[in-house]
Amino acid sequence: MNMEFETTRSIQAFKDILCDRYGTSDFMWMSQNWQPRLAHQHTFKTSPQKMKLDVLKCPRLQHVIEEASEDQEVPKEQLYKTVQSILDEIGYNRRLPVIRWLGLLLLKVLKRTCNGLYVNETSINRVLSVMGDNPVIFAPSHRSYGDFILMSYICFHYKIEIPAIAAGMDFHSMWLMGHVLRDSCAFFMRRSFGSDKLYWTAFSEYVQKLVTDGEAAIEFFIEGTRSRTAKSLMPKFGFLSMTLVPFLTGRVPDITIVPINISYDRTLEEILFAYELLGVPKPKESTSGLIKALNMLNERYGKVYVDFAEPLSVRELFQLNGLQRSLPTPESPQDQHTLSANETMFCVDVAHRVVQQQQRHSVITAFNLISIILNNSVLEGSGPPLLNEVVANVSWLKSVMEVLGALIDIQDGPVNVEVAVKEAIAVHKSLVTLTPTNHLKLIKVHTTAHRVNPAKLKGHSMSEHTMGVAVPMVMIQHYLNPCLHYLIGPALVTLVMWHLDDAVEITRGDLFQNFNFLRLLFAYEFAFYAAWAEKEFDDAVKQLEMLSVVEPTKSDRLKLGNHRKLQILLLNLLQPFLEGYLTVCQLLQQTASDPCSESLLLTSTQRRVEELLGSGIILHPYALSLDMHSAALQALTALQAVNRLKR
Amino acid sequence: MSADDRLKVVARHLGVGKNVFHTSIAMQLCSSENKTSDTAQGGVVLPQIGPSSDARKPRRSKPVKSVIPKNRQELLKWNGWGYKDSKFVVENGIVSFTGNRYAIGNLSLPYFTEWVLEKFDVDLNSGKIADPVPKQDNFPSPIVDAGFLDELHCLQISFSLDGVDRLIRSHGHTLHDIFILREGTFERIPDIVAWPESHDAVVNLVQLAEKHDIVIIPFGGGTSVSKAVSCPREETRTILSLDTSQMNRILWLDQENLVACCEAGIVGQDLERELGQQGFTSGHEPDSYEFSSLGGWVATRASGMKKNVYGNIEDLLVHVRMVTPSGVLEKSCQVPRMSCGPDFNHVILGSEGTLGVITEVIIKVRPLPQCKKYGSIAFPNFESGLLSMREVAKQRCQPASIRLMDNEQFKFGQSLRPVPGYFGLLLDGLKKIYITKIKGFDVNQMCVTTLVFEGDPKDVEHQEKKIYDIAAQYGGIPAGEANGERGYMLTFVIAYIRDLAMEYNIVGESFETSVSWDRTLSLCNNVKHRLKKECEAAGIRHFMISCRVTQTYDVGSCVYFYFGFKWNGVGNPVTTYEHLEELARDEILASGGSLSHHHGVGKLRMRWFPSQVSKLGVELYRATKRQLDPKNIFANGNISKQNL
Repeated sequence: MNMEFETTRSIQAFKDILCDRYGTSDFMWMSQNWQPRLAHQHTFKTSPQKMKLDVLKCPRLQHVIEEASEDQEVPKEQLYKTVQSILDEIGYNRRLPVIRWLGLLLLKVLKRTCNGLYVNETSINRVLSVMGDNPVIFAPSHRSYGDFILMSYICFHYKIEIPAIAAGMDFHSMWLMGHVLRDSCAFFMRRSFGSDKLYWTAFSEYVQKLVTDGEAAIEFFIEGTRSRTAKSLMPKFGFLSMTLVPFLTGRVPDITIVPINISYDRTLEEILFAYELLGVPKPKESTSGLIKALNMLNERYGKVYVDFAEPLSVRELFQLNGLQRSLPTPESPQDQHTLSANETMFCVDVAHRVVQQQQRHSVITAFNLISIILNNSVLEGSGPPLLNEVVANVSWLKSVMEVLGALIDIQDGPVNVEVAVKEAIAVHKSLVTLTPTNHLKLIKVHTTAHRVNPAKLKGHSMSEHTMGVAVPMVMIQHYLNPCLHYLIGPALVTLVMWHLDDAVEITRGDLFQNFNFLRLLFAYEFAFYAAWAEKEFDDAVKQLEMLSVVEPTKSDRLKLGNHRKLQILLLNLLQPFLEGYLTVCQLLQQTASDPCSESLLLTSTQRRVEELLGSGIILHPYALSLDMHSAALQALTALQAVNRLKR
Repeated sequence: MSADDRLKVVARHLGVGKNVFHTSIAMQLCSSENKTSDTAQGGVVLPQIGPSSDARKPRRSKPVKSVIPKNRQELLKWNGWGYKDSKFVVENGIVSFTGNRYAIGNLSLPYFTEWVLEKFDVDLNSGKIADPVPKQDNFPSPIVDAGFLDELHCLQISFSLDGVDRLIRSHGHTLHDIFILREGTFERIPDIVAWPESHDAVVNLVQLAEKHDIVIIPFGGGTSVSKAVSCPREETRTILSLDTSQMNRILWLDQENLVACCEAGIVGQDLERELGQQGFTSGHEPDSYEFSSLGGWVATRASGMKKNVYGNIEDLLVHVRMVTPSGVLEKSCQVPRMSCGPDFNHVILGSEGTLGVITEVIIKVRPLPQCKKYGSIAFPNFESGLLSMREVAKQRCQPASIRLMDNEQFKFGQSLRPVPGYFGLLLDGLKKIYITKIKGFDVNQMCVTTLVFEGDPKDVEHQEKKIYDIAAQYGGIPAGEANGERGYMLTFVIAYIRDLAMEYNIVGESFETSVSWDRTLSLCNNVKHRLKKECEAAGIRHFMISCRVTQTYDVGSCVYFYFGFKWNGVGNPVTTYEHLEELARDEILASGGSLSHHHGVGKLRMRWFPSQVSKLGVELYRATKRQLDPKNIFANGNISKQNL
């Protein structure tokens, strides 16, 4: 299995699947005779209704009902009804006409707002070639509500049976949309149900039925929720492990997992996300909100890129991990399979691989690079850069990023870069603009219209001034973040090297020690997997040597190289994180003696960051991000620097 | 005139009629004292009849003239399956089957030829020729102690040091065994072959071996597919192959209690023929029953295809004697069952020659059924066939045999039909049109269940109705007696195919398991899926993986897999095959299947034995072994490593 970079990835493999839709009838296209490819063919066809019935009848659920009936002294019939309604709440439906209408609507919207939906055809064909005889899981990255609608459209386009999609309950409650999504194969999952055994059993049985009996792929977002920061989130293991149980218990021969990356030129929710990170809660998903969102029809969103990583065979991964499925010893059909320690570790491993593959299949756009340049110049305090400086820097950064393995949608050559930069500025005209003097500057996105009731804020109520500075910077961060998984390893190494006090040289071993500590500290920020520390360290050092950021000395130690520009840039990228984490630590230190609620801690951290921003001690307003503060807390908890008393 | 014919004549003269045969119980089979001496062969030392000191044994018992001579190689292939005169051959690019022992004998098989070409893409004109029988000098010289030979002479047990005699008792019928015979040499073969002719002779032989520290490997029909009779290559002691074939009398038949006492070396077809002449049957019909022996069945826990009516070997077995270095293990009574501590018959059953030699077995017999009828049912797909089978098991209305073949095997079976005349062709066409067009079956999905009914005609009729009714609920339609009969005939013929296949670099084997009902389908799917993926990964393009469900039980089924592929020239075909079968077994176990339903552990599957019986189970087995065979002279190395 090729777990390394695929050298064959090229932007030419991406095909705009919307381009043939111009000048022909969308209606005819969406109402074509559609014979989809199945993920896992079965002789006996199940149906959404039958699946729910089968779950209701399964011995495990029956057993839990009986138990609950005794414990709670509730008649069984009543619990049956409860479970039935739980299953009705969960269960997906498959109604092709609804899918076709929704697709038609989407197609109209896409054609109006996007410059193209680019799908890597080589990679989707590879997925098609392995589909058919075992369950398949689609695991796309989650950056936008657009993700699953786009996924379904792509499936329609390539005649792949629309997957059963795990969706959050927030959609369920939306008027009409709940129904529409359900009919388009969404099934719904409550966010937290750890203690509700009845719900848990019903849901996990339902998922297992989907795996064993379903013919469509199952689609779920391993990050659990949309990443507001456009960085990968620490993967969730619960749902994944449910889907793997049928393999672990020998009920299916293998499961194929397809990590999928969806990269957006411009994220639909960019402003909302920026506010959310700053503590302004997201509006409840509502249909009227959705209709408001339709105002966005007048906006341009650039290109969307979708790439399918090499399908992972769970069986092969299992063997690769040196594991053997445990023999099914005499088992009560009433008992749920509980994961062994090895199996749990395996799920963690798989989840991280999926995230890694998603990252490696991203497409970097011109605006991602522009954001890095802009961010850098803000931190340098050098004022809005000239367009030609930006173009030159984007060219340079492109070559750096390519060394680091990124696929960048900018044609080579200065003219092409300039065209790409100008296009990107046009798409993002609500965030950046060219002044008459050809300087590129940020637009003040925040207006009083965005003011919300302070009582609803999640964090600290910040001044208008702070918000005015923060919102565009947080948005810029949103667009540079997708580059970070290429840059973070090299940046951490550079950081350590830069701060060598007494010696200018360091042994690899010492360097790794420091690197590893930083990696643990930022584990939740960048979804680091502890098991890969050494490999990532080696890769980073190799890459930095290639880029002359570090160089080996005669005594096989390392010292900083002469690529100062890149060194500074890498350090600047870490700036907001260092500032944010430092503030969290300082605050914890001050309040260490008394237990303190998380929300209070977050609020006071944010207040402190605002103060420090005002006094110029903190430079980057992204340090205000609540997500960052809670990631810091999680990492400190994992490092046992902080004790969590209650969840 | 044979003894029982004479008896019948006497009886007729006496005018007593039929009843004589039912009352003169033991008399019938017991006849002349003199054993026929047609066993004299070159290189074989012929003893006089050994001393019989066992008072319990009837004085007179009928010698059974076995189909298989003492010199097995006269009738049977030395390097392949079955009779010399029966084999698949290629003539003018068309496959045919020789001899007239089986229904497809002397027939040209164009459809099968087509199937082979399509499935494996071979050039039928360029087969590989197997090595000839090795020359006498090419065998490793036997390690035999002169003192032991002298004493063996004194025991008057026939033995041989001949190379071919030793070679043909050094292996079973795994792919590995046959491949070595065709293209290589065994690292270790027995040093001496001995043919004891009675329980007492075995007792003496085992004591002698114990005294001289000689290894004994019991050899029955030689049909093992678990490497059970192979000699461990690291064994430095003298290895004696104890061939039980000359110990094949039916000692007595008890018609009142419906049991027969047989010596363990009797092979299936001899047993059935002899019992049949008396109007009885054991009903035990494993697929190897032409060649496999009663002792072998007990030692491996064999299963017969008609077990639904007659039971598996453990159900048939009433009493058994096993000679061990520490004495003879047997019960002192012949009762239907008893509550008397753990049942030590079950120490003997499945012992695979590691604890001692099984010498005499009392088995149940049944009157021959008045009516035997075949049947078959076509199902639209495997899943429906399986559901129907499960329902039959639930209602406990299994006929003598019920087997479900998957689509691959169905098509394979169809290909083994001879060219029909015009009328046959027309009929075939009509049948196909009915099945595919009218009933809507997909030829690439449909499956067939084959059936054997036994009993009195009324019962059979009743059973048939019940089975066909259940089948109908799952979309099954009766597909005629002929198809059923062919299915069972093919069971015996299928074993011959491998010899032809090997000439064209196609290697294959069958393996089996037992599994609970709820896991039967997923196990079949998993194993097929796994092998398909592993073949693809190994760059093997031409392969066949097929299964059939051959037995039904209350709690589950027995599944038989056939797996073969055309060697792609990479590595060694047998090593590749063995690796793939190992992966398949891992998949079987992970899918909830057993290590074996009836083939046994042998040396092929011992790696998994501890995982099946628990650590304590292994200890218990070893303790038993230590007690019965402290010097480990029954050192064939089966089941579990013998580090005593």
